[in-house]
Amino acid sequence: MSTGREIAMVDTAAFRKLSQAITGFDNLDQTIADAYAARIAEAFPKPLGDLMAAFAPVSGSPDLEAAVTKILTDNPKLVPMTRQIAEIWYTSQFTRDDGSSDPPQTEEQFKSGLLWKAIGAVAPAYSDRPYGYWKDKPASLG
Amino acid sequence: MSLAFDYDVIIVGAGVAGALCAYRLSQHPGARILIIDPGVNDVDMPQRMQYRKTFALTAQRNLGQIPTYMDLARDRYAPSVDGIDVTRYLVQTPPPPPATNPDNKALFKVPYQRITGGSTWSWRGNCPRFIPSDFKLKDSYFVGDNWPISYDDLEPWYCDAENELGIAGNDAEWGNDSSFVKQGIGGPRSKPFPMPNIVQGYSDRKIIAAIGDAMTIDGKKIEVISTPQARISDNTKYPDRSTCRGNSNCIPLCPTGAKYDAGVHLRKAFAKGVEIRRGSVVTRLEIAATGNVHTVVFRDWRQDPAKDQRLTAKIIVLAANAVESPKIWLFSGLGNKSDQVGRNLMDHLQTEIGGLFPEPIFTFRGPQGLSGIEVFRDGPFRKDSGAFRMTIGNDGWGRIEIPANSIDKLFFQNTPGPPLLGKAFRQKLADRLTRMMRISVSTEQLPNPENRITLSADKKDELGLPRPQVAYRVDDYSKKALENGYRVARTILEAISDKRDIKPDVLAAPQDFNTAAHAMGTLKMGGDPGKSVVNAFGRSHEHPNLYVAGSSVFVTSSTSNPTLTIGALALRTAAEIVKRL
Repeated sequence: MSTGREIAMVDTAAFRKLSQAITGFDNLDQTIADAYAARIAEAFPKPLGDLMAAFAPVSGSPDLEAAVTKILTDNPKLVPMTRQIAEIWYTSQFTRDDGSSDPPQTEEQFKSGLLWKAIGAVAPAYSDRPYGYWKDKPASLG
Repeated sequence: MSLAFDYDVIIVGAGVAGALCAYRLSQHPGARILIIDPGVNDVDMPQRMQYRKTFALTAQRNLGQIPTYMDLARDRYAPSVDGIDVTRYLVQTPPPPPATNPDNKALFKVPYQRITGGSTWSWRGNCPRFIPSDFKLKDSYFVGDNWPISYDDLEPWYCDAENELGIAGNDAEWGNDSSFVKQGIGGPRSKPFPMPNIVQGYSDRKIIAAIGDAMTIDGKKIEVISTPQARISDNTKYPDRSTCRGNSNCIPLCPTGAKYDAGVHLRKAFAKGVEIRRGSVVTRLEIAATGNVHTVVFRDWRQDPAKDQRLTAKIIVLAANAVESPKIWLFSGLGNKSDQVGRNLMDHLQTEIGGLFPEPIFTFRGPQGLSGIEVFRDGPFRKDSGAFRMTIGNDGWGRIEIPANSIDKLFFQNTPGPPLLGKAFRQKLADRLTRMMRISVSTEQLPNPENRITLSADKKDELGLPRPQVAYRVDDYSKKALENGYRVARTILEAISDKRDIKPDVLAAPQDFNTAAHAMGTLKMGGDPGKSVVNAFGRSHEHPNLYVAGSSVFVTSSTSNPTLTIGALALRTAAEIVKRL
């Protein structure tokens, strides 16, 4: 696993930490975090920079979700950027400024979408489960 | 075998009808068979994996079934309807006055694939048979028309098709001792299903339990039963196909091949020596002095410039679909003494309704649908309003709200306050998505000669061929069916879902209909050459060596998904052709 690197002035380890607070999933993959930080930084360099700058002082907070919520309450202009981060982690795509979607770059990114983990499913078309698994409820979510 | 022609049989189109014909004819010793198809794709596992990758890397993938296949150069030269913009290829005639006519919304919305394997690359796999009254609608209910064949005539071919496609079904629910048959709705079966039904989902079990044994609507007992499907539950009999892995992706693509597609029979046909001309768009069928049609003129769109090529056969089978087959017929100037070519275009009109179950039912796991309600497919009401089938979705709210939209909706739930995020967001999202249930309604549509495919006078495709022009309206018979189906679905949903969540914003309303992507009619079969295009075996009344296979020959639409009936009729037609080889 990568330990994080700077992409377009983005500290991707911090980006991963912020992403965990936004998505509610611990242990997000750093390699995917690197890729997502790069994709979003390319599309939204300043908004992402602003959000990361606001996050930096609270990144050691014991309750990161509360800290991020306070950041967004104090500065609602950062909310759309937060939404993009949620979207990319849950669906591996995000919405560009012109309204078009930035698609997953790899099958691995698509398969890793948190949306499916959150509901006990697998990414469509990438099931590794046996015939009939759907007759029982999932053993756990996520 | 006749050596006067290049081939014994040329089949136009490599969808399910063409593939089954080719496969069955290939078993006739020495038969020289050619398929002509605009697709350039393979029908093997590497091709399937390439499509899967395209799917995964395509944004907005949930908006329609077609984007998986949209990156093909083929689409430029052999375009079709993409399921998003219904006017990009079809020329929809201007709505009739007055402008406020509600029929103005009645665009023909059926998408389809002009690739090798056809639209079976992208279908749900549901395979109920037609019911006996579907074949004698006029005699039974004084509406529509009668087929020249009965359910009993087709029953052995249904068994044949079920065996070929690999249908998983429940004999207790659909067999001769079932409520479905004993109520006089479904027809008798002479053979059991080839495989046990695909096991129903956790969601189905929860919904069935919630409905219970005592729910009756319009005098009909509400029973949710498994849907026969062309999907492998046990591959002992079908060792070349995987059992279903529950990918929740039947549309747009089954990644394993557990669900039937025409590639199954194309591969078998190729192994028996059937040839295929890929990338080839038919530009004309030529009539010989005898009245027969022996010559197929086509262009390979990969060539620059694409020049006309000609091949001949003793017998021609037109097995494009209900839009493309009449298009070819019309621009070739083939016989149309009945004036029925292109007419009686039909689809199944759909609406759906979504609600939240009181507890998680965990859809999005397994095939996209496993169960349905079949009791409204027949009854005296069909004198006045159409029959309908209902299916229980296993994919959340389907087209009502895709999961990506749920994310947006919940994220901004607190607007103008801070967004919902973190574990609270994750929990809310899981709560909403795992409780989603959906009932969809699919109605029959009567044959109407005014609903038709013609040729555009001025709009051409890239090869200079006239684009198909569609005139299409929805009559009161179908509108009543939509309204009744919606009312019944809503009644069920309100009885079993969490009433706190029954809100207008989670309920689709039937102001407009959706498509089932089931194009039917346009080259109807019949006994009277003055009123139909082909006979009961799909043979042209006017061109004795020309056959039609596919849903074009349907006389009525039924409420059944058409593929199994397409298969049964195609196998029956192939058997007739074999007699002439």
